[in-house]
Amino acid sequence: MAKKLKGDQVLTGQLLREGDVVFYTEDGNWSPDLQNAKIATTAEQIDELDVLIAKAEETNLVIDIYPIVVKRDDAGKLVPDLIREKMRTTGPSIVYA
Amino acid sequence: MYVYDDFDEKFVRERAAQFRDQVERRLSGKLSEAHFRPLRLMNGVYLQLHAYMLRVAVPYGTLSSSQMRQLAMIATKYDKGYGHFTTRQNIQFNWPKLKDLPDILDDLADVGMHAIQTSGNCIRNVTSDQWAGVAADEATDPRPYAELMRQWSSLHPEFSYLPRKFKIAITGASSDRAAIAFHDIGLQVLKNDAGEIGFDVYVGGGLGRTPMVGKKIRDFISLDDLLPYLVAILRAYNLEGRRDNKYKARIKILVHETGVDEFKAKVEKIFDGLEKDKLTAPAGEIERIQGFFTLPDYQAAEANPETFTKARSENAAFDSWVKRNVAAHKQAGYAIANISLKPIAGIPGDATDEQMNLVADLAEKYSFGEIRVSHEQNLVLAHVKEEDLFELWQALVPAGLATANIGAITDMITCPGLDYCALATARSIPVAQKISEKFADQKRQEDIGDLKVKISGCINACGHHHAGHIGILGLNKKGEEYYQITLGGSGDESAAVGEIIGPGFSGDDVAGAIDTLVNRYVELRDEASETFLQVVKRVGLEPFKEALYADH
Repeated sequence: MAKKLKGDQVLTGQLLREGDVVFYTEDGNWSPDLQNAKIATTAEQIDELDVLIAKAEETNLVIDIYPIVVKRDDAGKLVPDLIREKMRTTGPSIVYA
Repeated sequence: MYVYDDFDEKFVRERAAQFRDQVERRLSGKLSEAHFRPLRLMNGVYLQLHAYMLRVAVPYGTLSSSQMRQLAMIATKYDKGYGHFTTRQNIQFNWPKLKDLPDILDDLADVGMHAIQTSGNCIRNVTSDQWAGVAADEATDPRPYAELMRQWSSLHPEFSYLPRKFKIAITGASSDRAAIAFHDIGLQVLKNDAGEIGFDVYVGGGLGRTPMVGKKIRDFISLDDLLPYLVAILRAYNLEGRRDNKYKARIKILVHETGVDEFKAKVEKIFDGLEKDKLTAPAGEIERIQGFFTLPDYQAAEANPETFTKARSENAAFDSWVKRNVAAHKQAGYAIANISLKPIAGIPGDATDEQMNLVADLAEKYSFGEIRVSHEQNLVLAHVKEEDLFELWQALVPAGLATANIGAITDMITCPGLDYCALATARSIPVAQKISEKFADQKRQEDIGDLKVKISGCINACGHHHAGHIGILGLNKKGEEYYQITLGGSGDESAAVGEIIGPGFSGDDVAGAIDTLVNRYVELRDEASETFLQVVKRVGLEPFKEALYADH
């Protein structure tokens, strides 16, 4: 799956116990903040994502792990390419609760 | 209302205990996600965009005050202080944590509730008319038969792994408020001149990517034959429904591809071969169930009491609310009070814990402790004395629950859309909010009259857009949300699928487009009483197209 996407990619998933959206970080942990995500830019790094997913699933901490394409906005912040992933990153766009 | 017997109670408790064990094994890693996923779905637990989501069954949309308070407690303790009432008359919690879900199921079991069969390819919650038992236009109360079907379909061994999910709706009224024509099976309960009960059976209705209006395949099947006939339909579907393609797996596709006559012949053949006496309810069971649905102990009450008419004449806001939200009741001096969960610019179907607690209290005070959920995502107090309506309304106003818009343009069915849903392609709620703001003026809403706008955030049509007088479907084109508009759909006894009017609109432009359509309707109507839908049927789409796309 990872290889079909074009562009810089990060891994995302949801915490098994809580369900919260998280991103895979440089130090091999998971963060709720996309800005902390480890970015795969080269072909080798992108190929490695599948291995990382398999390893991460073994830890039984995060589920539904997959890569998403990210870009940098004018301020240099990471932003998901797809609106669905933007929504996952920022939470509902409405005032709720 | 129906109260669980020992069997139901034990069954729900056992299921909650089973799920606790499954969650423990999942968290410890003994169960993989692949193994656990179908187990959690069997208990109504989905993984949505931001969190887990729990869908709790509200059988045929009927709740007691104590059940509503428990839902409020769950919202407070385990969620973010609110719940979302759905088009299946259920409630969803958007933020539960997996580690808390076993406790939540125990708390639900304490009040006779659960989340069984709110997901998966099984028979889902049987839905019904939210005014069942009290509507002035009702032949007979459909709830005892809905309850019978609940019992029959719960963990039915033959029908637990159907090709796809299966939804049944039942009404006993001439006005269809349960959208029976858009269900896998729709049932209309009738009473003949001899006072006998019978059921007209519709099959193969549905929304989604292939919307279809259900076809009648049986007139007036007897009560004794109801369950055997349902078995025959489901067996035909279970055997021949497509399992090779998820998008063609619903019974509507089977009925369509087979042809109604041939499908009916298959059902009848299975039905003829059944040992019906073994499939029908045991003697006395219907009567036992009916015993739970006797009407409450109404007091003799004057119709249109002076206190009520005086309050109406002195308070325009109350009068507006009565006109839109209060419906005729079978019992003189009583009324059906509909509580809108569509405040202007609010989130359709959402209720906070405080609102749920208030409604529970008000139901206890004014409506025999019973609450209904409508498929249009509102609440109902079904047995309110007319002389209590003003007091009730005064209690609803400060809680934001007195919006006078039932059936009006701002009373929109709206799916959670891309703000919550993992399947959505576009947001629904912000579009509904913009439309709601645009039509906030009460006088304008009253002038427009009945107009059902329904919004879905993807082709799965959870927001019933096909059945909207104005339907809005959110899609994604080259990474941008855009919205297709349909006209002329209807979810009632005149069921019809809306037609696409033309090219779609951006999220910012939808409310303006609806405004244009409504203005054109006002110009076109012969008299104020001619509804939007009647005008669309009379003049067709062309005048509306011209209005919408004249400048394009």
